[in-house]
This record gives sequence, structure tokens and C-alpha cells, in this order.
Amino acid sequence: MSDADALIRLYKIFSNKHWNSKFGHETVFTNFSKLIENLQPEQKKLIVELTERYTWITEGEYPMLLNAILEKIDKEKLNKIKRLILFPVFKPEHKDQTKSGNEMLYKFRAYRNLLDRIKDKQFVEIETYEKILSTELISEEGTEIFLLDDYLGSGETIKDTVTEILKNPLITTKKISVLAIASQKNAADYLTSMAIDLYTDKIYTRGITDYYQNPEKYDNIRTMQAIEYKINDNKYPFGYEESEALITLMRTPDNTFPIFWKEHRKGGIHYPAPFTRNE
Amino acid sequence: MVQTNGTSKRMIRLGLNHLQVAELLNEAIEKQLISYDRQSIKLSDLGSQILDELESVFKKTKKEEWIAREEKNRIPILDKKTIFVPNQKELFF
Repeated sequence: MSDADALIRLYKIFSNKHWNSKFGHETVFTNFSKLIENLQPEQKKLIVELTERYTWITEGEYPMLLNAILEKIDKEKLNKIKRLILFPVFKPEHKDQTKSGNEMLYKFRAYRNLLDRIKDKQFVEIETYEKILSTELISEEGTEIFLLDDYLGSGETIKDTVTEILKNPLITTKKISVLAIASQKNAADYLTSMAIDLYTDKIYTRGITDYYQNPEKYDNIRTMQAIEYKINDNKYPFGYEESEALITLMRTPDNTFPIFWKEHRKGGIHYPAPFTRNE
Repeated sequence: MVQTNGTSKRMIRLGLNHLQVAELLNEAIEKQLISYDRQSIKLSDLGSQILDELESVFKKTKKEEWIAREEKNRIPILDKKTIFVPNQKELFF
């Protein structure tokens, strides 16, 4: 693939996906262009193909997406719910950090009067494991726990959250639902195995391994390995737990292929990533 | 860029950004100066004709203009007693 071909494909991606109306799109486009210039032809082709399936969700889209996700809840189930206990998804050992689950809780608080399907419910916000493990509210009829996060990746964090809150003997999996803007299949499969309802805009599979067939799959894996060789200190080849995610939300999760969020180098020069993830 | 299967670097040096280069490419496709499908990108007959016309108009005939001076990397005249020591942090080898 030539530079001209890659550039025009990128231009059409930004246009077709309406990325050119998002804040910061010029910088993202420039960083994508520089990345593509630094790659070999078959590497350019792969990055462009992956970008065609990439999802970029900005913070401003969260309320609309939350509303759309809530529409997916079964009417009968929703009618039975009088009170929602909102709890963020986070690992117990991260209790002193602000995680994306907390951000989702604040978004819910800010927009809940505009979320048609639940605006008439009672809300209880709980942000600590100490409180959720001791609450007796859940035993009251019509009370449901909504675990909130913007993105579920490998499933590790949601698993730790569910495992921990189930230590409250009053909480059962029947009383738990999970609400996320997006989810990888791994996390969704875990929730299915636990018979916990997941409400999300879309469930994503691995960008290379679950999309291509051999021999193309094998070739693309080798190509991505060569691309990632340009990244310094690449702790998560193919994304955390090899999730091979292709998504950026308010922040790019480390489940996404690192070439999209970590700087790469060529000729001693470091180039910023298209969707830089700030630690 | 399309004719020579080259990069956008020359246009970037002339002051365009990548988005502007992409917009120009898109415009050239819409005006059928470039034929593009997902398999290939190349100049159309009309595009080749216009390129030939433009090249004869803009051809640099003066030898001194064939290679552009890169003023930004020009170092000032140094005193002969000056000793230059490279910044170790800037070395990548």
C-alpha cells in the first residue's frame, strides 16, 4: 500500500465514521498519518484495515449511548425495579484510585434525569466496598445493583468486582446487572457464565485473531509483531491480556493494540500515538 | 506523490499538514485527476496531462534551485576556538 493510498483511505475513514467532527480530530489524523509514513507497505495496509474497524467514542457521546443502552433492558424487568444501587466497577486493591467506573457513576448522576427509562426510579450511589458489603438495602424488594463502567476489557476487573460484592450474603447474581458503554467478548462471556445481565452498546471481538482466517491471520499477527517492535517498553503486546481491542473512549484502554496509544520510534525520533494514553 | 509512489514529506515541508494533503488528494479524485479504487491509486489520463503541463510551467531551470537550502539546520559561524560536545541525551546510537 502506498502512502497516497493509505492517506486517502484514512481520510475516508474519518469522513465515513464522522471522526472529523470530533474534538482533536486534526491531531489524531496527523498522528495516524505520521505512523503510516513510518511503516512498510504491508504494515500500512494492516493499520488502515484495523482503523476501519476502530471505534472512537468521545465523552460527549456517553449520555446518548447510556440512553440507548438502557432501552435494551427488558420492559418487564425494568418495571419491577423501584430502586437502583449504582456501584462502579473497580478492583478492591484500587479503592484509593479514581477509575473509569467512578467516572461513569458521576455521568449517571449528572444525566439520570434525562435518561428516560430510569429517571423515575430511586437511586442510591455507593462507591466503597465497605458500604456495599454492609448494605442491607439490596434485600428490599424491587432493588437492583447496577455495576457501572465505560469499558469492560479482559474481564479481570468485572470478575474481581462481582466476586467481592458477592461476599455480602444478601447480594445474589440475580440482583446484579452490568452497564457498560462497550465490552470485549471475554468480559461478556464471564458475565454470561455468571448469569448476570450485561447491557452495552456493542460487544467486541479480538481485532486480528477473531477476525481473519488463516493464512491471512497468521500473516497479520506477524505484521503486527513487527509493528510493535517499534514501541519502546511495550508491556502489553497486542493489548492487555492480548485483548486486541480497537477502541478509544474518554481514554484509550490498555486492551487496545498499543501501536494506537503508545508512541513509536523511527530513526531515533519518537512519534506520538494516534490516541495517546496518558498514565 | 501519486505519480512517484512517494510520501507527503515534500508537501509537509512546504507548509501543508497531513489533513490538507489528504483533502487535496480527495479533491483530485473527485475531479478525476486521480483514479482510485481500493486496489490501486494512480494518475488518470487527465491527471497525467495536467501534471505534464504543470511540470513544464514550474520546472526549475536554475541549478542552484534544484537543491533547496535547509536554513533551519544551518549552524552559525563558529569561532575557531569553539569546542563542540554533543548532548549525550540526543544521541540515539
